[in-house]
Amino acid sequence: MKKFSDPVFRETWYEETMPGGLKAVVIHKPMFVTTSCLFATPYGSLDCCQTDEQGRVYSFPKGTAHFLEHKLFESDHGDVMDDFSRMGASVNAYTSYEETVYYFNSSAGDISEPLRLLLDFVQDFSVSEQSVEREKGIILEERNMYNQDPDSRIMLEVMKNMYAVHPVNEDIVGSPESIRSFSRKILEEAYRLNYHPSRMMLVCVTPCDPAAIMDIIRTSQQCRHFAEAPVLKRAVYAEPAAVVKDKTVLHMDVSCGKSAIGFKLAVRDESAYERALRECCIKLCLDAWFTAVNPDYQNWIDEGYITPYFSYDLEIEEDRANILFLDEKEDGEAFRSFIISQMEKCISSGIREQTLDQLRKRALGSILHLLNSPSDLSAAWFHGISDGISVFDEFRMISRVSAETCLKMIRSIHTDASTLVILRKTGKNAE
Amino acid sequence: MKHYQICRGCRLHIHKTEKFKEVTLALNFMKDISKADRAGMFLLSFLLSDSCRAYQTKQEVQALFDNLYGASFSVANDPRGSCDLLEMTVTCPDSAYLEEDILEKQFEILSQFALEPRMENGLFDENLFRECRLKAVESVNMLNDDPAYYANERAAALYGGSYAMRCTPSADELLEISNEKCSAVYRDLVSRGNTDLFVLGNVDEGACLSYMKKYFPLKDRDSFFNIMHLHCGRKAEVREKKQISQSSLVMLYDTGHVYTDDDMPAFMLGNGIFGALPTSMLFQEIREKNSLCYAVGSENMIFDGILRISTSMEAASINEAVRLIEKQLERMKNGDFSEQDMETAREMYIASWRSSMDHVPSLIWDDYRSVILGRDDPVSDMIRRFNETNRQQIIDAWSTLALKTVYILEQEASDEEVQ
Repeated sequence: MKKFSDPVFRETWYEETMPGGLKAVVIHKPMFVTTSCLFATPYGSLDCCQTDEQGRVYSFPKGTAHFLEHKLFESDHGDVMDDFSRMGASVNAYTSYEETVYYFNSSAGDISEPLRLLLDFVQDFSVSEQSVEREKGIILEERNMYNQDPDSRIMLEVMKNMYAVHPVNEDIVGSPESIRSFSRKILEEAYRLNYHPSRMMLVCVTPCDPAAIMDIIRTSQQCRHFAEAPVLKRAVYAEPAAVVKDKTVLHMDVSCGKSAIGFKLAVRDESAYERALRECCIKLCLDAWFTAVNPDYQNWIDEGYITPYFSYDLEIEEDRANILFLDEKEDGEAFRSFIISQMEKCISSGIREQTLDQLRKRALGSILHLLNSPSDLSAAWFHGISDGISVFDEFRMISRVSAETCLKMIRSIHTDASTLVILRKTGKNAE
Repeated sequence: MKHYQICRGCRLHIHKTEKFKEVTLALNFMKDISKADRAGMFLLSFLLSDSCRAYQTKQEVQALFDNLYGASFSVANDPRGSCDLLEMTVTCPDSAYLEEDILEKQFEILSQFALEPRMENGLFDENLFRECRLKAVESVNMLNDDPAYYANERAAALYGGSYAMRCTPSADELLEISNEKCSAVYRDLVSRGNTDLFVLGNVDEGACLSYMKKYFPLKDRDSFFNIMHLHCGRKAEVREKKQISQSSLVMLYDTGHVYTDDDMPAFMLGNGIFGALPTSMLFQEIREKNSLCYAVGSENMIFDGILRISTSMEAASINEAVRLIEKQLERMKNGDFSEQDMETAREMYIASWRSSMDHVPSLIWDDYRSVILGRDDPVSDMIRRFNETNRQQIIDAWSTLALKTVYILEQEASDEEVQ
């Protein structure tokens, strides 16, 4: 177990790689009563097609990671949620594009029991064929729930319009057909390939003794035997630079219409650090231009170019990159013209040194805020390690980046591949 | 926590702790809930968070908070029980992590946003008022576009009483309210509402008291508000249709218990057994065994004496879900639950109350609840009461439940894509 500390933020943490390869991190928060512990694999909805080092392809139905997440809660004697509850620990899980995360929170003084259970249930595949069948109805209802959320609906449609072959164009939970196609065998194979401890990470934010926590994890891993699993990578998709569709109009029975614009950005062959730096610089420029930091922002609202609910999001990953703009407006074409013209100005202007100082100060507050929440901190820590940039590295990156570097990075993006999705009101709301 | 009476009806509460790397100031104004003032109170949360006399533009406000190291500022209208509440919260980094002390500035800006809004001649700035009213209308429309939220609101409106009054105002109500009315609601709230400022963090208590006196020159007020009101809801069953992909079901029951009742811990543990936890009867029977839904749960409204059950599913499954819900309720009344069910609920509730001590908004709410109930109400006391609760007390507490309102928002047809 190796000890680390950050004198600026006054945090101490411990790291160890366990037998079998599991990476464990314990962040010690002696003044808190809550322990927040997550166990995660970098296996998300986008990993439905993977290749090993020999080039062998492993294909699974859309939504496999999510279905597997639901079913791992099943144990040989029932549902592990019941076992956690009996210990006074709340357990849950989520699947995103990139990862599946299982976590529990407990305010008990001794967390050895829920911690062992977390390790046990995630590292044990006890799924029956009957329960797979039963789960299909639940997941179809979950899909229906997301499907009637206007924001989820419009964002998924933007992805469909932007990406021809990349699986980001599919719902994380899968399609009704893929959900109905699952069997125990499919899930078991996906589990065997993607839950090897050498791929996984355990992050624990706790007031408990870090050495004792590490002992529990180490003992648990020493007792287990894990068959060799191939080293897998997500399949590489020959995604064209252009978008699939220029425009889509959706209709829903809602009272607020919406418009979303997606810019598909070029993917680069770069290191994790270079990618994080590029994302950081572009994000700073967007924050400087498309928020109230910009003196014109109020005029944009007053003149109806945007509403007060205007928002945007930037995503730069190894195999995809995009910027999304969303607003509560049905006149999507006007919104698109406005955003394209402002993007051009943003790209040519970059960011002023004074604004950069302002955003650096904001970043300091953000990290201090994160350090106050055990559950947010454990998740951010996992993302940081997965992305190769820790939460502290990210802060230092923002502290040191220059306006010149930001300008260079924002000028590297092109806005010629864009798509528009308009969500129009139907029913009595449209009258 | 230390309490300081600033003047009649205005208090400062300091909860000193080194646990957090931030300092939070939460200023709460409370008044009795009224239908006439609901739209105004809701709109105030937009007007008072946008800007103030000292910082008139969005750019100035953004620069102010960024330069205070990413300070966060929010204003929430959050009616509870039979009271309406406006919560203004500023959170800044603890100055120990900075090269300057910003605590006084934190008090000053909270005062500027709360007590010196953008008003002239007794009215909010007209441009600000128009923009915020539009923003509030959009906000209501967006909320109501979530079928589950809309169903909860419709059920509350049907149930009646102050629970109905707590509903988010409609878009029409917001469009009808005038600047004059909204400004009057503001003046009434600030001059007459019970006012409590909570400070949570590693602060100097003497400095906080002097900043409070300096920046909050409030006057005496004699109001007394009782947040608790035991409801007796209206009997109603209503079905409405909408083009959605899932139907929503809401069932409201009179419970006969409010927070300060002796049997509240028993009722809470019963709710854990019945519907509030993933181990509960509702989750196990409706979701796990019958695969009817993704989410189902029950919520105990502790100041109102109301239990709300809500879920979403295929329209064809609704009647079966209602049957299963009623069956589980009978099991509660008959004591048809195991010792293990009871112990699990006890463990989970104790854990949840203990965890609130690590969560800033929960801590402030725990402190505020003690203040508005006028009694010392520490987490440790509720944990002791959970530990003392027995099976018979749970059965007795659940024997008084009476179904009042059922609301179903049914799917009409699925939405379609149009090229």
